[in-house]
Amino acid sequence: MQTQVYSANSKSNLWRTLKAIGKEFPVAHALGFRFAQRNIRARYRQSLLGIVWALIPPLATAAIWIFLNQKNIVSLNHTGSSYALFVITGTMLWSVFSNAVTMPIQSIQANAPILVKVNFPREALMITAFYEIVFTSIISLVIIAAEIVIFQIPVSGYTLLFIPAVLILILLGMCFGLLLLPFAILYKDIQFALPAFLQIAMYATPVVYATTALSGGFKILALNPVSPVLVSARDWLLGLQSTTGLLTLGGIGLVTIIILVAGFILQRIAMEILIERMGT
Amino acid sequence: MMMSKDEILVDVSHVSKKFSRSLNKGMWYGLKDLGSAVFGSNQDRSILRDGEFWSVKDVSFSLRRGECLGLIGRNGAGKSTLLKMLNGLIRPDEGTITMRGKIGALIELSAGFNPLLSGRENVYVNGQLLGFSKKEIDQKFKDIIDFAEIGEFIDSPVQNYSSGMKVRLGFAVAAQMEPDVLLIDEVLAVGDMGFVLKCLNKMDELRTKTAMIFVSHNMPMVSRMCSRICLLKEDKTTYQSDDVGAGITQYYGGFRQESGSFQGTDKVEIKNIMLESEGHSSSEEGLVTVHHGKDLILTVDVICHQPVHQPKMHLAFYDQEQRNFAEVFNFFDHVNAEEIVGPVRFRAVIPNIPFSQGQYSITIGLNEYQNGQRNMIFRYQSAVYFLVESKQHGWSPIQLNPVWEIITHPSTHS
Repeated sequence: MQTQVYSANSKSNLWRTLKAIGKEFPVAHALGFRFAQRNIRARYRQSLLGIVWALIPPLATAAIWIFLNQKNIVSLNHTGSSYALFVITGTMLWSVFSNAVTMPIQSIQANAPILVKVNFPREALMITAFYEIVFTSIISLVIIAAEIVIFQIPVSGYTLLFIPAVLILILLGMCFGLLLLPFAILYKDIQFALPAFLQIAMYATPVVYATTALSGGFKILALNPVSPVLVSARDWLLGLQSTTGLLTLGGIGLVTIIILVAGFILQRIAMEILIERMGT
Repeated sequence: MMMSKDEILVDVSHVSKKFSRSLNKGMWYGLKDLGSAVFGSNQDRSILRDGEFWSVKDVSFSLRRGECLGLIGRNGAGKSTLLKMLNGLIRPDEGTITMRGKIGALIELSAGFNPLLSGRENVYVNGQLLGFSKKEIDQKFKDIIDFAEIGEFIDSPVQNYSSGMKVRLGFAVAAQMEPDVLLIDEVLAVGDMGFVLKCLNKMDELRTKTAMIFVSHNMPMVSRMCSRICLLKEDKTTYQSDDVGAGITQYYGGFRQESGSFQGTDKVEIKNIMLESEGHSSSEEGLVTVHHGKDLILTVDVICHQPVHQPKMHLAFYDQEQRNFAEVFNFFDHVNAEEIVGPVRFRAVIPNIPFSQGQYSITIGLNEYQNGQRNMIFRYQSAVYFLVESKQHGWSPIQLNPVWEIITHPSTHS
């Protein structure tokens, strides 16, 4: 018979927490998948255009920059391909990332009523977030696939490398989301600030301009960990000469996964403290 | 599985939990707690910081299979906090909780429903949330629908459900659990009478198999369900006993006896209302305690500023749930005064009070009859309170005491 001990004196032990997460992972995964299915089914049930709404903001951003560039209000022509193609792909990939940052917090927030009532593996909600991000990302990628077909971009084996790149982009976004999560639950300021911050961060990432456009002091933006991932995903998709080595990408991927695991542990330790303050 | 009656399934040892009164401080403390949880600093959790208070303080009990502990107390006494700790949602700041076996919580789960999805879809989501696999839900699905009495609505979106239907469906899913320890938080306050009875039957069925902890404000329900009682008081002391009735009486004793509304004319002024039993009177001791089966004497002193024709006093007894369960209308059988004026004392001796343990109030009314017409002089809701002490405390405020016998081989002729 299983025994559970809840004690004031028990120190949270990282290794033991990790083992507990591992043990409950299959249950958490099944539940998280079910939640994601529920959310995706329900989200667009009461709308006419449905999923299209998820695509409008990045497409609008792209449209603005295409217009600015065409009219020579700004001039960004170091892109190596059609600017329109370049910027649409960029904003789509950025929307994948920003969605991945906000989703973990949203998922916890939306499920607060059950979090304070039911004891279930909390990782389920992160798995829900992951699948929801993947779902929305696939829609974004369909747009990108459409441009590849329309613009007759040559497809090679390298093109498929975008898959791990996008996956790393998603996990990287979730890392930021997970690390922000405890603070965002305690202080709503973070939730208010996040959209604005992500907007600024987009311009600190080569989304509407190419890395080669950076000069002088602005080169510091290349240190942004999102940049190499997003840029290489775009390069592979558009058949451009990739500026990022596979090794760099693999390194970022590895660090991302380590931080993600740490984020899961942090979340589990934090959750009982957060639930006290949720008070629903 | 081992099903020994003696195994202790719940062991709560000197458990305390503190909370912050202010939201801002709470957020800041939350951040600090987070830091010390992650980096494992040695802060003493048993010290109250500025603005904090003990929500639960030094509670201990243990519970075996087949036992049901009633957790009662006024709002804010810490019942829900304790329940959350038992459920592993929040951690105690002092003490240790040990739970053995599968823990189930019978809570109202309709909050987790997605309004746009059908009842069927929500059953699967909630079922999995409570730890069932998809296959198990498939098997139990019919039972869930039958229990919830949802019928054809099962494929409609939940937003079209009545609030009662939502609660029934949420509860029906939770009722399928087969836990070793069952936590129940005031779920039965909702739903119509038929559903409440169904839930009670379900809980009776589970009671023998589980160690149950039942949080409720509904005392008849507590006395029906529980074999033990734990009263959490506002001063953070606890009262525990196997005598559920005694605990309930203490709980009721913690409320101020507020007399209710007074409606009346200025024809008659009430000077004093007094209760007496076995030589003890309310004028000396405040609340009079009547032992079950003893007499209760009510004295009402009034001054009639104007003559009252053919007065008739009537009484109504209310229990803590504000149920009017007994009445007295026999005034004219004993007294038939043509007219009263000036100071007058009404006195009623009510023999053999057959009430169960608890606190009761008496509502006093006075009418006059003139030319065949009835006029109200006054009606004083819950004018006076008293306690009944009894070994008998059940559902019902009235406990009858018939004479029983067993006749072996009764002859059918006699």
